[in-house]
Amino acid sequence: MERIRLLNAESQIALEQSEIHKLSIKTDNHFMLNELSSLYSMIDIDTKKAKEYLATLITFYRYLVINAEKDLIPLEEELKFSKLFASNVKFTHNDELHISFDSSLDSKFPGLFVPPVSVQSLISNAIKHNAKLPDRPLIIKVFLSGNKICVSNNYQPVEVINESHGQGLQLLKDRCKLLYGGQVETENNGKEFKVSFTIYNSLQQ
Amino acid sequence: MRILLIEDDYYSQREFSAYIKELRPDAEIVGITDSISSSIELINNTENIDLIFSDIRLKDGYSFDIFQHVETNALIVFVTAYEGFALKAFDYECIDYLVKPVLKDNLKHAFQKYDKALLRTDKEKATAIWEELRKNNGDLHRLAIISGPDQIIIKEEDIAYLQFIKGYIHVLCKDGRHGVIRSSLLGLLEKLDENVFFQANRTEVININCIERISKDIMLKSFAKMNPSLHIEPIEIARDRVGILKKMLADTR
Repeated sequence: MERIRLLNAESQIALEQSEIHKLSIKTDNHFMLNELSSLYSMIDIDTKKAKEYLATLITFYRYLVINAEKDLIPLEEELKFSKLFASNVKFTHNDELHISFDSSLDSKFPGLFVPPVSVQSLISNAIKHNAKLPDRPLIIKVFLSGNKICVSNNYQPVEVINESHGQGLQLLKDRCKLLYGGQVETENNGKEFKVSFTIYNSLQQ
Repeated sequence: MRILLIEDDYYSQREFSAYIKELRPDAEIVGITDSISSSIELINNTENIDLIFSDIRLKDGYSFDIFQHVETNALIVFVTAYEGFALKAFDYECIDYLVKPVLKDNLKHAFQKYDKALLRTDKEKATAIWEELRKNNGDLHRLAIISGPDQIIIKEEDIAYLQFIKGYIHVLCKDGRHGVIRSSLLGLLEKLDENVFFQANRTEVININCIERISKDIMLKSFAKMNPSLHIEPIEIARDRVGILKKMLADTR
């Protein structure tokens, strides 16, 4: 990460680094508590499935613990983590939720970095803020567009009360900006909601 | 008891309904819904739901929305994995708030709260009926008493025994029917036939036609033993009232 730090003017480094470390990673706690409660009920009903589910949850948390302290992680790592999260979600939401990763994301990405838990938090946000029903499934797509990674979903918003609203997105904006001057953009045409953010390319710096 | 379960997680649904069946074998689960829209539809098309267990975060929003759109007399217990909603939940007059995972003991406790709340609403209903009756009849010929979820209408002569407990009168009829009304003992006594109903002590009134025997114990206290079909313990007659009872019985003869 040395090279990234050099992006900033010397005088700003200390300040901005301290800002970055104030930005702890934000996960959707309510969602995770729901998943754990579901697991609790699953144990007696389908032990085999519950064990599989628990194994993915453990792996998910391991990623979270290992990467939470890092500023940036390889894009491949973040995608692996996000796919794991998507498969977790599938355990409890079957027909009403589709998450797809574009095939272009299967490649190797030498030199490309993103903040940890960035793509995952955008997927998690989409799930939190939109309806998921068998007759109105939520369709989330992750894909590349130029030097950006995008997460889009069909827009069917639900009310969100009492919970951190927009904090996750603001956090991502702060991290991208402070770490490498990256941009986060949101687009909403009423049918589709899309968030995209700049990937850091260490080979081009 | 008719129960609706609103829960969007398949495994929680299954476990929860198993617990309900175990704790309240008589309960009927009238439906399991997983979204706001399906819950509203079910509540609007189902009569007499007594109790609703409702998860808060559903597939299409918060279940609070449901209760803004429907009128229901059902009592509500909210269930959630996330405790941040407690204050909001109490806006909807829920009787309990369960945090997931729901353990059997927590559910048992919720059912106990339901029983208590039901008793409370019964008593409120009883008060209303009593007020109504008092308006209509100065003298009492008929009386509506609250028995579980029902009101039963009894005639004055059906009453075998009355007991005053903390603002309510428990009424026992000759045929075993029983229930409560809200009244003072004095207030009710004024309306009953003074030749038939005898106040034996500070809290109990008996229909003298239901007395089987009057006896004294070794301390010379008098007791009225009631008809065995009523299954009640002998009733102590206050020392200064024994004479009154004897006079009443003599007059009846």
